[in-house]
Parts: sequence; C-alpha cells; structure tokens
Amino acid sequence: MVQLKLALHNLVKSKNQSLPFIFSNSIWVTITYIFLSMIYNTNIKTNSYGAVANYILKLGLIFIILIAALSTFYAERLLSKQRTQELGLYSMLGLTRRHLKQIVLLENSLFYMICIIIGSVAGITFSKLAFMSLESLLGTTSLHQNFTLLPLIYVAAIFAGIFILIILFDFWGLKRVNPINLWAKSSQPEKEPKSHTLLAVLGIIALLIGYCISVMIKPTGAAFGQFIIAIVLVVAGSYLVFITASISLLKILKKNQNYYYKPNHFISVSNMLYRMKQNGAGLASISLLCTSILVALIASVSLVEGQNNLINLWSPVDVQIVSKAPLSTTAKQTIHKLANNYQITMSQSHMVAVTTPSMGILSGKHFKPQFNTKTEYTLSSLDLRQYNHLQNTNYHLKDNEVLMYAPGTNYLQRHISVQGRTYKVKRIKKFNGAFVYSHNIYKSIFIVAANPTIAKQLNPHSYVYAQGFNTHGTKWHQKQFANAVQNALKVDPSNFTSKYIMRDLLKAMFGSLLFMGILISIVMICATTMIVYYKQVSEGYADKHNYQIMSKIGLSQKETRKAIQSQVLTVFTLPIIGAILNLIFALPAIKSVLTIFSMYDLKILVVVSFCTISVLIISYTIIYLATTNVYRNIVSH
Amino acid sequence: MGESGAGKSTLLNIIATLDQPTSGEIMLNGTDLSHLSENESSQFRREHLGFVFQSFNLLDTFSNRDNIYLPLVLSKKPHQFMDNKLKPLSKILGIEKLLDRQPSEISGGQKQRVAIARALITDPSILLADEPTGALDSNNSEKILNVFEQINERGQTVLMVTHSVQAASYAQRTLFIKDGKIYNKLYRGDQSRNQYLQKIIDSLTALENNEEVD
Repeated sequence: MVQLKLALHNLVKSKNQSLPFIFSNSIWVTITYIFLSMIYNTNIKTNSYGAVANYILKLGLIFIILIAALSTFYAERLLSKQRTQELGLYSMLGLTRRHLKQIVLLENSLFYMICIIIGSVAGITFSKLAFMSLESLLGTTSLHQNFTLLPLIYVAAIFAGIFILIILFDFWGLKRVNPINLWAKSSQPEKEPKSHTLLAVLGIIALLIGYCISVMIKPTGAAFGQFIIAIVLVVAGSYLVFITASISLLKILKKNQNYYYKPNHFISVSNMLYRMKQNGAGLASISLLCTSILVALIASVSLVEGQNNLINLWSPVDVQIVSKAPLSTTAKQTIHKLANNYQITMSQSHMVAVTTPSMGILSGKHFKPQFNTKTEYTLSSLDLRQYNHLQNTNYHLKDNEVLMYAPGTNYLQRHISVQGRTYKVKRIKKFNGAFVYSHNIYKSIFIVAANPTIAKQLNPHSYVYAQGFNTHGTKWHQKQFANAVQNALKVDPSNFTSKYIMRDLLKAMFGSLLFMGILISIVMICATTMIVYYKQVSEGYADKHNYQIMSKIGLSQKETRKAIQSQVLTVFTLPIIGAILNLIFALPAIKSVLTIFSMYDLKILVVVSFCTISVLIISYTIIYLATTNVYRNIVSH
Repeated sequence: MGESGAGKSTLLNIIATLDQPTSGEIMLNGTDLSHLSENESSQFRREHLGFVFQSFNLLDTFSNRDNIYLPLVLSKKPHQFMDNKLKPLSKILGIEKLLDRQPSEISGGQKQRVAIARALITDPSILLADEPTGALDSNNSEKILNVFEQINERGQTVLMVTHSVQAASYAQRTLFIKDGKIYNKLYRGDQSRNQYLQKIIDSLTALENNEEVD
C-alpha cells in the first residue's frame, strides 16, 4: 500500500508541524472526554441540584466542541499548506488525483486515530486521578464515577465529524489547483493579511447578539436552545473579531511612522502582522478558555463562599429545636447535662413562638398559599415584642406595618399582601429565631407583625416554638453534642437544626458542584497553558531565522530581548481583555444560576469575580513570562 | 579567493565580529574587533559594517523598504532621515519601484539589490559580501558586480568573498587564501578587466598546482 507509506512518510517528515498538531488536538480530545465522562459516567444527574449541573455541563461541552473544532481546523490549514508541496511532487511523479485524495484521507485518519488514542488515555487517567485526589481533599462527596464506554464513543464520533469536515475541505482544495500550482504553493510565503471590514463588523454583530441573549435569558429548561445560540455566537464572534480586529490594529500601528520605526515596535509589529491569521485564532482560543476558567472558578468559589452565608441564613444559632410546645424543664435539664458530658458551654437559650410556616408562592406583592411544584417559599409570622426582645432592638410598628426577614430572596416590593390584607414592608437583616421548617427546600420568610393578633391574621396556623442557643467547644464535640441532644429529646430530625449538621448536609449537597467547578477550572488552565506554550514554541521556530539575520545585521541580545518583550506584551493583554469582557456578559447568567441555589449575593459575586480575575491575570503573566523564556531560547540559539 | 574550506568565510565572519579569532587581531579604523563584548559588537556591526549574503537574507515579514530601513531603525534614526538616505540609493540600485513590495514578490537579482541597499544605507566603513552572486544567473551577477564597481569608485570599500574569477576580476585587489593563510595577492592597477581576469586565472591555477608565484 504505497499511499499509506507516503502518508506516514509525510507525517514523519514534517514532524515539526505534525507533532504540535497531534499534541494540541489530543488536548481537545482529553477535555471533551472529561466533560462527556462527567455527564455520562457520574451520578451527577441524580444528585441534588444535579439537573442544573448537568445543564451547565452540557453547555460547557458545546462550548468546548466549538473551540476544539475551530482551532483544529486552523491548525490543519497550516499543516496542509506544508503537505501541498509533497503532494505536488507525487502528482508530478505520476500519482493521480485519486491517489492524492487517498493520501490526504489516510494522513488525516492517522492523525485522527493517534489523537483519539492519546486523548482518551489522557482523559481517562486524568479524570481518575482528579476524582481520587479531590475526593481525598474535599472529603467524601456524593459524586461517584463509573467507567462506561459511552463517553469514549461520543468523543470518537464528535472528532470523526470534525475530521470528516477537514478532509472534505482538503479535497476541495485539491480540486481547485493543478499540480504545478500545488508544488509552488507552499514555497510561497504567506502574504500580508488584508483587513476585512465586513468580517469585523459581522464578528461584532455576532458578539453583541450573543451577549444580548445571554443577558436576557433565564436558565430554565426551555432556554437551553437559546443558550447554545448565545454560545455559538460569542465563540464565532470572538474568533472573527480577534482575527480581523488584531490585523486592523496592527495596520494602524504600522501606518503611524513615529510608532512603527522604533526598534522594538518595528520588529514586533511586522512579525505579528505577518502571521496574524494564525495568531488571531490562537488569541481567540486563549481568550475563550480564559473566559471559561473565570466562569467556572467564579461560580464554584461563589458556591463555597455562599455556603457559609447560607448556613448563617438558615440557622443563625448553633442549635435550634422546633417543637409544638415549649421545651419542658426536664428537656432543658437533659440538654445541660449533655453539654457537660461533651465539654460544651452553652449561651443563654432563647425561645420564640412563630406561626407554623405555610407554603406558597410570591407573585408580585401577593403571597398565595399553595403547595405544588411551583411552591417557592414558606411564610410564618411572629409578634414584634418577641422580635425586639430576641434581637435587642426597639422597632415600633403600626397595625398595617410589618418587618420582613426573607434571606436569599430579592423581594423589592414595598408592600406585601397576605390573606387579603396589604401591609407596608420594612426588610430586616437579622432574625436569630430563623429556622428552616421540616428542612424543606423552600426559602423561609418570617414576618414580624405589630401584635399577636395581626401575626395570626397573616398566617392563621397554630404556633410552633423555636428554642435556640449557641454552643462553644471543639467542632467535633459540638457535632456530637447536637446529635446527642436530638437523640435524647427524641426530636424529629426535620425539626432539629444544628449549624454543624447543616454544614455537613450542605457540603454533601454542593460538594459535587464545587468539585465539578474545580475540575473544569484545572482542565481549562492546563489547556490554556499548553496552548500558550505551543504558540510560543511554534512562533519561536518560525521567527528563529529572522532573528538570526537581524543579529548578523546588528541586533544585540539585549535588543532581541526587548523586541520579544514588546511583541509578547502587545498580544498578551488582548486575550485577557477579551476574557474579562466576555465575563461581564456572562455574569448575569452566573447570577441566575446562583439564584437557583438561593446563593446569590452581589457582594460575594463582585469580590469573588475581582479576586478570580486578579488570580487569573497573575497566573497568566507567570505562564506568559515562562513561555517567553522558551521562545527566547529558541530564537537566540 | 580560495577553495572551499580555505578559510575565506571564517575570515569574513571574524571581520564581521560574528566569530572570534583563535590568535591575532583584527583592526578596523583603529578599533580592535577581537575584544568587543556582545553588545559592542552588535553596535559595531550596525554602524560600521554592511552585509550582503549569498542567500540575500531578506526578512519576509518586512516590505523591501522596511528591510532596507532595518539597520537604521535599530540605530534609532528618525524616519525622515531614513527616507532621505534611501532616495539616492534606490536610484543607483534601480529599485525605486520595488520598495513597497514584499521580498517574496521579486526576483533573486532584485532581492540582492535590495540587500545591497540595506547594507549601504548606514554608510558602512566596509561592505562585506559573502558570495553575493552565488545564487544568481550571469546576467544578474553582472548587474550586481557593476553596482559594486560603481560604489567602489565612489569611495566605498567592498570586501567580497567569491569562487568566481569573473566576480573577482571586478576588484582592485585580490587576495588568495589557502589553508587559512594568505597565499598570494594581486593588484589590478591600470590593467583592463580582461587582463586582470587572466592574471587571476593564472594565479588560481598556480594555487591549485601548489606552486609559488611571484
């Protein structure tokens, strides 16, 4: 089989190009595999909040497939330019076009198989290792992984699709040129790119529409299609804008003679402009990956940060016991005895009587009792005297005024209408008697009314008594003590709240989401690092010759270093700016997701975003500096 | 002149400060070139030397104009200065129409003329040319050599390494190198080019036959 031999020969001969291609492509296979394996090989779907996680993962997968397809396509165009010369030679030696097609087909199939094998092995190993190490780091989460072949099959199918497109494109390229051109084609150096105003405008429009969609839609099942459209538009727009805008920018810089004819700018601007088509695509990939790192990190760190917030909202004191009647003296004595046993000191306990929470929905300012799939809230009421006593406050209320404690909701109305009456609302930030009734998943609203009669009017249900106190001792003792109290008093678990038990509960619930976020971030950081590295190395080899010539003419080592720095710096900032811009428009979507988990807190989101961006910029700088060294070493030796 | 491996290019590289001599010293305008630091030698190359290579060594990333400007840009000369320098030079070399094209769009002979412009734009003390006609056909070679002769008449020193007796016959003085040593030297004086060519051929034959020539 001559064709196979020739295909192999091409692959080995141009190993300077084909090895990086295999390398970067395998990374894409790996990332796609990890996403697929999280969707199909884990129990994430059945996990609490799993549906949302699954939804986000699927969006992430589409995002990755798009970037993978685009960057593979770009990389292959460069490779096929090299190949054309060989094919021209074969054609002159008497191979027919059919033979050439076979060679192209075989070569791409070889690439495909190599990348799939390397990528899958890396993906399986990486996800196994990640699961093991993160499990030991975070403690046991409720997330488990089972190995099935399904993700592998999907990965193989997805990349088969990408490669079939590439092969068809290559065939089409073969058809258009005759052997003489084929031969000459690769010896022609790349022409200086033209600026494409139309494409730039198209890119900007695509970006804007994508942004608009992402800002406006709410993450519900029905909006999945819209989200995909938004992602496609943003990805396509980013590539177009980066490719066209960077060329235009460099052209403008070049026109400015005072800027251009400076030693550093002169070399860097012309170097970048010369291969901006590849450069733009690479920068777009880096920018999009940085965006995904930011989104994943911000979402998962917000979850961790929000978790403590949520615990404090749901159980403001360490232990809270809810019962139909006030605690008996014997019960109190038992608690004190247990506290001694577990070396726990207790704070003064307090008790509030609130009406039994009733479930319902809020539409506008109306609270409607209702218990079905739409239920979002529970509402209960108490009188002002109890509240002022408990919180040590001095509020005064008229009959038509209430205080409202509704953590985790953004209720902006000035009035609330319950049971046919409307009250003026004043929001309060603290209520130490708060509890989550029966540990339901709904958001609790507590309404403080002027007197017990109005409290009853608001929520005509019998009273329940919430007995709460803080405990001091080691974490382990506090947890043990909480469990012991619950057992001794034979309180139903649903009416017993301990901060420590709550923490464990939440940890199990959000652990898997956090895990997912960290895993995605790590994968993306690795991918970005490798792409930046690959970019620097390949550019290093491309520029080596130029720098050698310039060194002969009189460019010193020091000036070489300066020129490289200027070149790196100009392109270095673009992806980060792009990523931050993308992030700003992704924030509303993150906000909606966090709201689903009732964890939306503007302050946390802003602080986390700011920190994450800073961390990313710092690590990006480190990566870039390190890889610039690699570039410099290649160029100057 | 000399055979392959005789040490012609090594000598040229040492004069160009790209290489260090194992012994002896190289003096140019009273400067000892063998003890320059990396930075000094870069600056020296830029300010005092012009290079013309066999393989042109134009940078594909620059237009022809920018290729010629390169050494001046490295010396931080203002744009107007470069422009003024280039005008007369491009006329002599006949490359006015090529300036705004890319090196990839012009022929070998044209490339070499652009390369000569790049070498001359700094007014170098000495122009070093390593087989400048080696990759050119005879017609283009002749053009290049004529250019060298012209600029030489205007007072520009040109040091050219070559295999070709044709090329050597354009020189005012020819040194023959064998095994790293200067074996013989010829002066053209008032001889015609053909007479001088014959003398070079004789000398070369003698060199190959290992004879001592007076």
